[in-house]
Amino acid sequence: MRHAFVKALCEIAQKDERIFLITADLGFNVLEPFREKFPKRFLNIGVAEANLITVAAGLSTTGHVPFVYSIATFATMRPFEQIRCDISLHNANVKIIGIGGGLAYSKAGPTHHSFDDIALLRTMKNMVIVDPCSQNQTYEATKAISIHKGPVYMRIEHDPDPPHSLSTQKFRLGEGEEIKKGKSVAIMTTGTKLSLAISISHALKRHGIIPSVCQFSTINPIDTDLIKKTLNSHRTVVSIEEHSVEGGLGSIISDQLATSDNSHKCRVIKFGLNSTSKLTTGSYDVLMKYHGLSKEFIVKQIISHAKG
Amino acid sequence: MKADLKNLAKEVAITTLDISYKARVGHVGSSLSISDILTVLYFSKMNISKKSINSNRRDRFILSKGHAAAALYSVLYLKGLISKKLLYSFGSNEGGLCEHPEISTPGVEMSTGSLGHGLAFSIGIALGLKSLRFIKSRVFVLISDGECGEGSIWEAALLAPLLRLSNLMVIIDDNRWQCFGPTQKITNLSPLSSKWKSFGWNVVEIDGHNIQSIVAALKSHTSDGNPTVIIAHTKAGRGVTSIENKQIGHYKVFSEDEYHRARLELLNL
Repeated sequence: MRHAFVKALCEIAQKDERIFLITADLGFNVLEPFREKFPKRFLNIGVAEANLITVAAGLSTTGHVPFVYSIATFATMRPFEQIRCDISLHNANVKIIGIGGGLAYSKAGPTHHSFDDIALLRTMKNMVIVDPCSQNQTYEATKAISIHKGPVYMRIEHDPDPPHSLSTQKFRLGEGEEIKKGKSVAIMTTGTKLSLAISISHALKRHGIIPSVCQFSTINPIDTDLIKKTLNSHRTVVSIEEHSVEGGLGSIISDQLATSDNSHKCRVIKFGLNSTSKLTTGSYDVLMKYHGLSKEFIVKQIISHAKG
Repeated sequence: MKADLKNLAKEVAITTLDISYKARVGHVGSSLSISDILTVLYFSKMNISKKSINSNRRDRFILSKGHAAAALYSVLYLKGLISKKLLYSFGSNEGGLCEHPEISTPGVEMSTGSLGHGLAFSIGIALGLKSLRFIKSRVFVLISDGECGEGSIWEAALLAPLLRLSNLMVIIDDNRWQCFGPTQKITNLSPLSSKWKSFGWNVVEIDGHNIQSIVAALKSHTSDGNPTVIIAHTKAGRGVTSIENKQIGHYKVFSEDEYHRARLELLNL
C-alpha cells in the first residue's frame, strides 16, 4: 500500500508542481522513486516530527501541497499539538500519511502500535481521515486527497490479503460503500479489515445468515446517510476495525445509533483492538487473533448474538 | 526617517498600553519589549501594505511569542492594515481580536499563542518562497528568549541553515524574563549567541530599543546563504517604571491611575 501511495504521488507531482513530499527519516526503499524524480520537492527533515508538521503547515501557506510521511504513531501523536495548532486551526492544505496503522508493526511493540490515531484526529477541526482498504484504493485515495483543499490524515495499514481492490466502486472522498446487500445483520468496516469482513460474510452464509457489508474508507466526514440507512434496516450491526473500539468506527456508529429512529430495534457489536492488551508483541496474525479480529471468533460471536 | 521611526515607536507603545488597559489584560511588559522592533520592521523594512496584503510576494512577519499581540495589533493599525474599530475590539466580550494573534485577522500570518511553533512555520514559508523563486520576499519571525526552552525551536534551528534559507531572519526578544522569573534562573540559555552560531546561524546582537541599531541589524545580509538571527537585548515593560524589567510586567492589569502614569511616561520617553 505504501508503494501504491508513492506511485500515485509521483503521477500527481508530474502534473502538479505544488506537491512536496517530506519525511521524518522514514520510508527507506519506498520513497526513493519520488526523491529521484523530484529531488527539489523531496525533503528528509530528519528525526523531528514536530518540525515535520509545522514546516509543512508554513509551506502550504505559499500555495504548495505538502505530503508528510512517518509511522502513524509518530506522525500523529508526537506532534499532536502541532497538528492541532498549525494544521487543523489554520485549515492548512497538508496531507499527513501515517504508515503502519493498527498493528502493522506487530513485533515492534506498543510504541509502534497505532490504535488511537483515528480517535485522536477525529477531534481535530477540518481534518479529513481516510483509511483505504487495499493497494488500489490507496492509489485512488492519494489522488483524491491531493485535490481536496484542506488537512487530511491518510492511514496506511498492513497490506491486506488479497492486496488489490475488494471495493467495486471508484474511491470518492466522504462516501461509504455497500459492498454486499444482505438482511438482518450488517458488517461495517474500515481500512484493510474489509477482507476480513468479506470472509466473515462468506462463512456466515453457510450458517444461513446473509449479512450486508459496508466499507467506510473515509472516516471523517463519514457517510452518515449510509450508516443511518443500515441501522434502520438491520437488527444487528457489527463494526470491525483495526483500531481501538473506543473512538473509532464502532464509536461513530454507536453515536449514530443513539439518534437513530431504530435505536430500540438495532444493536451494535464492536470488534477492534483492546488498548489494555497484555500481549504487546508477536506476528501480525497472532496479534489479530489475540484481539479477536479473526474470522472464527467473530463468526461465532455473530451467530451467538443472532440466536440470542 | 530615524526621528519618524522614534515617534512611530512611541505611538505603537502608547497604543499597546491603551488597548491593553481597555481590555483589562496583561502581557504589557512582553509587548513593550518588542514595540520598537515591530515599528522598524513594519515601517522601514518589510514589503507589506494594504495593497500587497494578499500578494504571495509580500514579506511575512510571524509573532511566535503570541502573547505580545497587543504590540502587533498596534503596528497593524498604524500601518493601515486593520481598522480602529477592530483594534479596539481587542479582548472585548463581543468576539473581536484575541489576546493571541489569530489567522483571520488581516495582516496576521499565523495563529500563535502556544510557544515554539513560529520558527518552523516560518521555515516552511521561506522554503515555499525559495521554491517559487520569489527571491526578494523575506520572512521575519520574532521569538522570545524564554521560548527557546521549547525543543521545537531547536529542531527548527537545526534545519534552516541546512536548507540555506537566507530569506529567513529570526529576532530573539531577549528580555531575560519568563513567567516565573529571570530566564537565567529557570532555563538558563546562556550563552545564547554561541548556541545559535554552533547551529550554523549568522548571529547579530543589538540593543533592541535602539532604532538605529535595529535598522542596521535588519539590513544584515550575508553571502554564505545562512539565515540570520538577531539577538535583541530588550527590557520587558520598557518605559513604564511600574513594570520595566520586572516580573509583574507579564501579568499586570493597570488601574486607572497606574494607566495614566504609564501613558505619561511613554509620552515623555
